[in-house]
Amino acid sequence: MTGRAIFWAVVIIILATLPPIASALGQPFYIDLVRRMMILAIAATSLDLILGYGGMVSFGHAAYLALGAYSVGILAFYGVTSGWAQWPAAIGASALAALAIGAVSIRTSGIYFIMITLAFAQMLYYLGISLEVFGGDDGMRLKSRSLFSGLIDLGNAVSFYYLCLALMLAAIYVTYRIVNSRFGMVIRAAKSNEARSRAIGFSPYRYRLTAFVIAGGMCGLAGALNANHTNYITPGLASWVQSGDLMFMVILGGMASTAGPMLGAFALLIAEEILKGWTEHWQVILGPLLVLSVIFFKRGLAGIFRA
Amino acid sequence: MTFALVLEQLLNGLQYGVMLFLMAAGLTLVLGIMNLVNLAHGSLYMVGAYLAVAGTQWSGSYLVGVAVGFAGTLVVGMAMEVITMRPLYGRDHLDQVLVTFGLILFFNELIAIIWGRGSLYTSLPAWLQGHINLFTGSRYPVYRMVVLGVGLAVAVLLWYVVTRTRLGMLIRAGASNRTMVAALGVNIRLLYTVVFGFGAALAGLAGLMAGPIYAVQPGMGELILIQVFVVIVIGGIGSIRGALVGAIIVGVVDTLGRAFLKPVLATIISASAAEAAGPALASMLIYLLMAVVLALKPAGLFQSR
Amino acid sequence: MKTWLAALLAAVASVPAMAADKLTLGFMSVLSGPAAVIGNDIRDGMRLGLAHVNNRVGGLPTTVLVEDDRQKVEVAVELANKFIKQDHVDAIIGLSFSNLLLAIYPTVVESQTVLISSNPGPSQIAGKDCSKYFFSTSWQGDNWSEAMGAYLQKAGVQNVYILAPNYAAGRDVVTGFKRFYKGKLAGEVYTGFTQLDFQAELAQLRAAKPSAVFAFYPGGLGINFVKQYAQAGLKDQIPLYTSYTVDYTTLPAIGEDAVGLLRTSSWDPDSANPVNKRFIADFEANSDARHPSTPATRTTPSCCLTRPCARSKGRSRTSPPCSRRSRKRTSHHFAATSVSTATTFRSSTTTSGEWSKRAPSCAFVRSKSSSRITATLTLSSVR
Repeated sequence: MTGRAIFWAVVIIILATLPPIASALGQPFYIDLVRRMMILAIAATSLDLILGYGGMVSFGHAAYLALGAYSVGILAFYGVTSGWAQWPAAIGASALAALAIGAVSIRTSGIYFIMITLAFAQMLYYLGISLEVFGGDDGMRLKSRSLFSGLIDLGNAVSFYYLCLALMLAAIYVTYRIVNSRFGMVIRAAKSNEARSRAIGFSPYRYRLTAFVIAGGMCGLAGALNANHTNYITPGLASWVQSGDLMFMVILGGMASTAGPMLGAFALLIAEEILKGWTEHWQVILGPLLVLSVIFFKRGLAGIFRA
Repeated sequence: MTFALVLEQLLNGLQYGVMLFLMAAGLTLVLGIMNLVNLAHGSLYMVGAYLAVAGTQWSGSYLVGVAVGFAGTLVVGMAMEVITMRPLYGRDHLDQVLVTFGLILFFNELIAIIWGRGSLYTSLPAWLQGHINLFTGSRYPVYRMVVLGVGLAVAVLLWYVVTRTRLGMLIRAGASNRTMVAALGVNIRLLYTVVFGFGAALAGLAGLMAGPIYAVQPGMGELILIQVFVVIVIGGIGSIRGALVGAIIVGVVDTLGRAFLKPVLATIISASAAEAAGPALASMLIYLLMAVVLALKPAGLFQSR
Repeated sequence: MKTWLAALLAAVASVPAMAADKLTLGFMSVLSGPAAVIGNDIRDGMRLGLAHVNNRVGGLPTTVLVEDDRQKVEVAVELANKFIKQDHVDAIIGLSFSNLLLAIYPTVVESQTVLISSNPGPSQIAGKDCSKYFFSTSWQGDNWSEAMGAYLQKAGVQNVYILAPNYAAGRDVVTGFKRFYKGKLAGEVYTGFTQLDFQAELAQLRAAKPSAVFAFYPGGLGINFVKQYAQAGLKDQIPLYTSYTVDYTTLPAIGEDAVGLLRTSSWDPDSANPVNKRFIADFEANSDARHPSTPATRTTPSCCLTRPCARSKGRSRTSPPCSRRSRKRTSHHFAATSVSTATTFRSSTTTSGEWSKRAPSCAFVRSKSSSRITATLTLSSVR
């Protein structure tokens, strides 16, 4: 068994056995906590696809999280509660938005790309605030959880947890396959040396846009899961602070690595929980921690595990 | 929609634009010369406001507070540059974004630890209170006129420094081609520190002027920071002229949009639709503007290189 | 004291099977940002109340976990979840804003945890959405503005321009105002919930030339609004009437600009009530000579839910929580004592609003047929 296989086996075993252990200890709160980590791990994985492998510093990725969540919320608001309709709609809406935003943004590069993706996310944020019907600034409560015609009950904390676990592993696997495919090679080549990849005959724009759309859709799925997890949807999901958090997860975990985003998401959220327990001013510790990790710890956590 | 109303809103837009300019000037120089994305610029704005409040409370005089705020932010800015920015100069923008993002968290909490999380409210001295009568008959707050005046004065001063002094020449050269400037034997490190420091001081000035209008609270810088980035992207990175033009445009468009878009829309589409669409569109207006500008002129309106 | 105790005891008595050896309370309020003036007062009032009962509410040793919801809905929801699932609190208390309350309301009552609100009383959860787990020690959101609306209607003021922030309580307050003010409206403007600069709206207001302005801006928003109103030279041109805007949380920051304004409220420190006097003395002693404010009175025992409430303790679980109903029977009479240069009061008060006698097991139901708004509230002008 390779080191990699052992690593993944350990991760899966730990995550799979968490719910029974937590219930036995009388701490069901941790099931919710880890579930949230897994949902954000999916979002971070989608960001790694374009950021880590593609070199596109998208500072507005949280917009797709919000879009996915609002798709579920809006459909539920109008009575469409079937998950079979809601979740594909969430993925589709996010992918479509990514297509629109990417089409304009990918023409730029460098600092302009960062700014324009940020600006688009802000636009969606303000749009969310101004839609009075859906609660505006206050956001809205999810009328009912997504129903999957009896197959799975999202109201049950444990089954929802396992669903998230399965989806997270699926997202990581899909990303792994994409970046190791011919398509993924072009993206990585374009990040590494764009001039050379053009010289070979590839037009990076189309490949990048496709990757951007895939990442958007995957993040939309995370958004749909998040809506069901928190039962409450606010425009704050699209804020740039949320985008910044996602970027940190990717960096902390190690860019362009399979397990990196997942490790980064878990590490960041665990650090937050621990620090919150110590002091209410936990950000004064977290801030410098993040600064130091970026400056000194470039290869990220995945670098340690070489996963 | 009378002329008096339009004029008043125009003044509001100019006043807001001028505050954006104060922040944008520093940021665009830092980005243009040192190729450094500094998200913590908003934190310097906040530091300026807090130091000014502390200075006023300690000395009892408003002007002393202003001086403390300005000078204090200058010092904090230079310290920040020496400690945290120097490792970042060679790095790519992503690292800079993340490090300065971490700095934001740090500064916000530090301020919260020292001054508490609630907002601080300051009162203005008597000579800054009250209103003046405009020629149209409406009244306009004295303080906002003063803010407008100070902003324009700083713009003129900056223009003078950049175009007529040696330091300004070095700044323009650095924005154009920094390696060449270093190769010519200029102490580029000192230049960087000075530029960063003054950019920070300008942001602090914007913060201490904004304090009495908005609220002095942790995180106040982030609210305005995004708009500042929109300004420098529209204006062109590295160009102070671009920062001024961009800031005025953004300030006026944003204020007039929020004030007049709904009634204007109501004449075209139905009133209830305008009620919903108006505010939504108004808040998105400056971002749409930025997208349009970038589509037409990808490097912004004024280019420094 | 008795309010607090009684409300909690009633709550405790009406919820089945709880650990009877100690009490854990989760307190959440806005402790950061402009609205922290409100949250801080609520928290200090709560601490004072606890001190008055020696940290033993209902005879049980009590721990209170204090959290800051940062005026953000998502944070409030997360805190509510944490309180319920991780800390296993017996009741969630505090709460300074209606939208945050509404956001956590379904989760909390579904989990059968008691929810006691100190400040907001949104009308959305009065009536059929009311739950037996929800109590409010304050008022229903629209009461004070109803009083103002009635006053302006009676005074024959026409052409009023209304301003409020765009959230649940903002709309509630305006609805209450319009329920009793039947005159012409020069404008009805809702500003962003976190918007602090009102210059543009003030310009619009000036152009609309109303004869009076009614504004609702809680906490820091109120400080900014009143100051900017005065700075824009509007204060001596167009009279400003407010509810929940100029009160003792915001007065220290507003300062001179509040002189001459009229507001409606249900409490004022000059009340001759001895419990009130003790409360004020203790509050100022315990919180660096800060003057107490209305929100603080909501969580500190200072008002009136005494015997009617204690009696209701014995009733069955289906009977309504007593907090609101009994207020009808007690009245706060604020004597017209003028306190030198601070404030003068014009009229004595009784509670505003009246609750239906046929209320089906719910504290918040308002009868539509029999609401007589008795002479509303203290009209206080700051001189």
